[in-house]
Amino acid sequence: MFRPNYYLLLELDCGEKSTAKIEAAIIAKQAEWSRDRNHPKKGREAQQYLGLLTDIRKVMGNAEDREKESRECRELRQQAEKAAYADLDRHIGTVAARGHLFESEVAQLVQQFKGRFIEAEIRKRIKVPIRKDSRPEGASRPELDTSTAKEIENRLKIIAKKDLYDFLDLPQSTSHDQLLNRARELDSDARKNNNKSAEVTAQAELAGFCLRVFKSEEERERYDNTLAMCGLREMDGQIRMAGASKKIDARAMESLLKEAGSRGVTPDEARAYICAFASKQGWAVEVPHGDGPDRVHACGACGVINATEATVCASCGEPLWIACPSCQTRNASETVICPRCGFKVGNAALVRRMERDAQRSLGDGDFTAAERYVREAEELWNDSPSLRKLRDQLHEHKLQNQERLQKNADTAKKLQDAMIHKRFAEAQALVIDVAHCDPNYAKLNEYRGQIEKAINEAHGHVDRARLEERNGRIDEAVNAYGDALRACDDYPDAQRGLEKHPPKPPANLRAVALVAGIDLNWQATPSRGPAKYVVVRKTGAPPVSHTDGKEVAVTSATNITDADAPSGQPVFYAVYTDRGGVLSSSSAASQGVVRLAEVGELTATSGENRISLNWRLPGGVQGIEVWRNSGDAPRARNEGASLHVPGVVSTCVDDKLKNGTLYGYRVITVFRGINGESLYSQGVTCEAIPSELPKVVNDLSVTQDQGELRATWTPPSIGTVHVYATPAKIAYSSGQSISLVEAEKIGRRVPAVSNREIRDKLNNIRLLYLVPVTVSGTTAVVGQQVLMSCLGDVQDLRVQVRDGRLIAQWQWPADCSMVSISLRTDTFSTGPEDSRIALFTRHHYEHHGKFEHDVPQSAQIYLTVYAALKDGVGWVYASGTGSGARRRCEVGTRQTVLYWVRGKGDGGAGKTRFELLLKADSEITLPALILVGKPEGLPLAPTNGTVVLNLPNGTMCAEGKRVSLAFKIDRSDRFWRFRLFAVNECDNQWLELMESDKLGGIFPPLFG
Amino acid sequence: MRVISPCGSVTCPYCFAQFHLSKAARRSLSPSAVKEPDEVLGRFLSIPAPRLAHVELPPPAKFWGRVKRRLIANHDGMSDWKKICPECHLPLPPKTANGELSNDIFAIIGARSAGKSNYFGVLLKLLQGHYAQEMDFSCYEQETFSVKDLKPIGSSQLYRQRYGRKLFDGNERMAVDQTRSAETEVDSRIPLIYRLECNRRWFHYISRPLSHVAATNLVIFDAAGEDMDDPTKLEHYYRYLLRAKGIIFLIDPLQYPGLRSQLPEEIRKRLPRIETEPAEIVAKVITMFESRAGLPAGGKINVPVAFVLTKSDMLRGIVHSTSEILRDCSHKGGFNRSSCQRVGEEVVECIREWDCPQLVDLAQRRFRHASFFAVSALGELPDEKMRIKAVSPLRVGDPLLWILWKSGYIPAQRI
Repeated sequence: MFRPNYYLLLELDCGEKSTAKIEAAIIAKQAEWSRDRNHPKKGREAQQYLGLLTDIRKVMGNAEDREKESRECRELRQQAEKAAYADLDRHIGTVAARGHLFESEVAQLVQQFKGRFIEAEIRKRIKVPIRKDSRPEGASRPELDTSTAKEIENRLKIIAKKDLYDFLDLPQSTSHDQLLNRARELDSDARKNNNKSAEVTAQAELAGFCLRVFKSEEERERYDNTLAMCGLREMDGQIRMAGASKKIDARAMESLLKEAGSRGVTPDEARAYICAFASKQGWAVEVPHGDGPDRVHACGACGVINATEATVCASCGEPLWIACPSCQTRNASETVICPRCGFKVGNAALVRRMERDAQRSLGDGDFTAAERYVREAEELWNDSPSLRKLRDQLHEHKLQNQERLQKNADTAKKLQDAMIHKRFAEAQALVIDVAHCDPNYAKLNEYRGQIEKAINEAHGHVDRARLEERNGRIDEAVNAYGDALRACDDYPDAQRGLEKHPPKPPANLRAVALVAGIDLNWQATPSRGPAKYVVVRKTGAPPVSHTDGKEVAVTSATNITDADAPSGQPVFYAVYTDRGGVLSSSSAASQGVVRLAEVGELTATSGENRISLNWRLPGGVQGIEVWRNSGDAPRARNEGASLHVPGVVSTCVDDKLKNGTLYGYRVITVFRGINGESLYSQGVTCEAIPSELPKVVNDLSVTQDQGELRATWTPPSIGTVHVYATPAKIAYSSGQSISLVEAEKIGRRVPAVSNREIRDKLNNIRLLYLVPVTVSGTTAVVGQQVLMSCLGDVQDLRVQVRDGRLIAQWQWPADCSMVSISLRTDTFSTGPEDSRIALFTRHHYEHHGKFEHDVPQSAQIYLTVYAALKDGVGWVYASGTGSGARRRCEVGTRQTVLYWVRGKGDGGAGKTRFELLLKADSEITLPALILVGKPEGLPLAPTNGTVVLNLPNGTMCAEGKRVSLAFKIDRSDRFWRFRLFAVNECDNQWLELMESDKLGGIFPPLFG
Repeated sequence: MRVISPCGSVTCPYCFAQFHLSKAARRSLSPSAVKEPDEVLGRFLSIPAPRLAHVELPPPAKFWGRVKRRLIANHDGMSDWKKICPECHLPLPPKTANGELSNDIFAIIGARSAGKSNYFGVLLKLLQGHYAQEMDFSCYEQETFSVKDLKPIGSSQLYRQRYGRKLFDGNERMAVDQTRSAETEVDSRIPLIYRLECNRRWFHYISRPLSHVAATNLVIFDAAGEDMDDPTKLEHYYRYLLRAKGIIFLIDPLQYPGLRSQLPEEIRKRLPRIETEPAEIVAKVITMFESRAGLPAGGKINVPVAFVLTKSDMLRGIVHSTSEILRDCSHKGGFNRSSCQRVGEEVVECIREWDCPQLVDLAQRRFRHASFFAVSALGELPDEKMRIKAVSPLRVGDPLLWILWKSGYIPAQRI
């Protein structure tokens, strides 16, 4: 007897083994069947199942039977699934016979198989392309309105473009976001173009049309339809010709359909149009058999219609089928968006074009363009093998190109070097390399000529030398080889020839120690030929070869001065002859000498009854002697008085001198000779007059305006003031005496315009220290140096005190990212580090819109804002001296006076009486004030209304008490508003006149 | 689960549609959810229908089921579904989706080149930092929607993309470019959403007895000025304006010939040409309220409207040195009513002085809650290349704080 599978009947999972769950399912089903047992349709079935209950419990209760039932359930489910898929495939096969499906058909399938398959599964089973729904027969396709289409056409004519796709230079299948991006680019270009010619204007307008037309798929479809219909309308003439005999035969029809296809119109649309046209004219039409309306599709790149079986476009050769890179679905090239995964496959033609452009750019060596094309293509088409290959090629080409360019540059440099040093043999090989790498190298021909000439000349000399050698005339042969080397420094034959005849060394080398160095002279070599001399120096012992010691010089002369010889140490010299790179086997050697050196940078600084001497010690010095004379300096050692110098020091102070007397000094250095004896230098001299110290300048004031700096000071009673400009802070402190030489080394001396002022141009300098130095005789005293920053100050510093908080706002200069804020209660700060209360960043300022700080307990505050800029390792500050960067603000004495006006009724004589009431927190004597009134409006300024009341200077306002002042104005129906102003603007700094609050809306009660 | 008002409605922050939470659709968050083209979202954003997880409308229910839904809102947090607006299919902010918070829309409108975007950019920065600190409320980002990635994105990230990078990042400060029309720039239809949490005020103990803070989602929307000039485009914004809790109407003072003539010649050369009169846009807005919201002729609009004179830094040297317009004020402890009122009076007078009293008349006659303000977002006029030295805002927060005070979120200073 047939019975259903119990797992299926109980709607249980095939693998369910839990008896509790099975029992629960049985109970639930039993209840359901009991309910349905009297149901007109389900009743019989329910009764049958109720009869099976005992068997169900028996089978499902037995493990073996249950297992068997479970297996059977699985098989039955598989069979059902297979059958369902077969059913689905049959349905799909029926509609997909024509080669594609429409979206509406897919939707119908989804509806039909609802509950059995989800949409994704159904789409997965469809192997043919899915197209957008075709329009019902006879329905007209939506088009752009005629005026817009006409406007687009007119503008396209101006710039000679076929359609908007042609204008954007993009294929027709390109996704609309790319079309929009391109349109925006063109729009932006056209806007930037100041030459507003007809073409540029048309371009801008067309870009605007593109933004509108390609805004959405619907709009785009309208435009595409308009294009297709335009194409058909252009064929009107051809249709008339075809129907000249009142009939369009099948062949003519085919020809017309083909022509329409090349214009991107599908055959069914073209057929409908031609039939309608013929019908209007009253012609007969013979419709050809063959391609059905759906057996065609358009090329995504050019829009031409092709037969379905075609794989590449007959017009442009582009492939007609594209595999989606995201889901691998095969799509027609006209498809803009993959119906399965939504990927923009319509960009395929654009990507291929970019690939081609990238290949071409690679071939031309334009790597920047190639990289741009590849990057753009990658953005549109992810993970394509051809793009990956292109990217690799690009990378490889770039590396190769870099290497090649580097190598070319090195070779060219070597060639230049060889030409300069007449190494023409080497240059000959390099020229070949350079010509190979860079055939357009500018000096190639010039170099070739020079090389050829030099080598020919050297070759001639070598021939001559060999002839002389054969004749036994060695000296002449050496001369000829020398001539060859003079013509070409590295001519190998000449070098080999000279190697056979080494030169003789020079003779009588003498070394004399001088202060400027060690003077060497020797007798020239007796050997003939172009000789040079290699001078070698060694400290402590004579050199034994030309590599033993330091090579001091290679010269053709027979004397040199070795200025680099160390002082105070015994040095030995050897001179070798060098002829054509061949050195003499022996050398001329010198005795050991010790070089003497004087002290350097000797300065004499005058002071009161004293003179300070400073110098720089030379190397190897063993002692210092200082000799003094009144008047001129001592002419030699042992003349005048010797000053006590404790050891080897660099300073000496001579005090107890007489002011106004000239003193001369000679400073002599003492060295130890080869044999231990003392050697004395000639010595250096200086003179100075001790005198009373000049006054220090401590009030240098610097301002800058329009690229010019101006510094002023109070002229001292003694001495002249020199102002030096230096970019770094100097080490001298204020009041320190320095020598005139040291003063000159501080920096550039700024020319003075008077004895109290200098002016100078600022040449984009950001930071400058100005150092005033007072000079009197030979004495100079450093004054207070002033930092002057050319970084622009902040502008328009506004300071207000509200609710016990100080609020500061200002305008930031360009490039400034931080300010240093200094606050003092006695005077303005002298620099950014003086009384700094905050380092405030621009970011922080922008975050709060202001700087806030607690108000100090003081009557007044002096706030300075220094603009700062990171320069190198440290911060550079603006001077903070500009009027917009510092503000004095009254705090403690700032007074607030509340005022309000009230009407007092009729004032007689056509006037209305009013009363001004004033109230202050503490007793205050008011300055001169005016009350300004204005009918139906608030006076914005003292001049913006009528002065109705003058309060003279000195009006007293007691603490907590009202002051009442009456006034009258002409009677009027209009409302009046009043405002109190200080007569003198400067009084606003300490006095705040505040109208008493009248709240309740923004249009407060007005006074009448 | 949360008990909600059976008659209350929520406002979608994207399309401004109003609906009861029981009508909200939902989108599956499950990674295995079937993806299908979302035509509704595509149509709203004017993009090809994106393939997203499928949307489920509330299933039909019997009477008691419908009653239950009207009274109880489920939490989104623990389920695989996210509530979305049934009209635009964009996700509702989390606390709105469970009926806990309302979305308060604050509209910033004004004519082209009134400085909306710059004001918007600076205002949001200051609101989250300076004003939140000063007035003791917190303001932080909520999720909004990225049209580019078709997924939720933090409002701060969107803020940086639109304004922050130019105004505050990098060494060189730039003013923000003109906002593109929402017709061509889909992204500009997406607002920025911030959570505003304030301390409870006395009436909140009655209106929100279970909540320990008074909170709302601030939905701030920057409309392109060119859309405001065109009556047909303005029509797109009718919902936005009608549903707004407060409107900030920006007025470019440089559009007033009376002021222009007082400016120095070198500044006058750099000014944009005179376009739409601010009063014209206000008239259009009033007409919209009349036609769409049934406002009777001569009736007053109840929404608080802040008329804001932008670029107030240009008034330096024109108004008196003691003018309140040029002085910043502190809102410590509450909205500074007295200072803002004085500014309002001065602004009204300035506008009258520039021979443009229509705006003031309209504001007086047709708005129940209107106030005038003067702000400067950048503190200076940008140069030809839109560069500025630094952002120096002045009184930027006054209008929004006034609206928040009017809406009962923040207190006013005691006088």
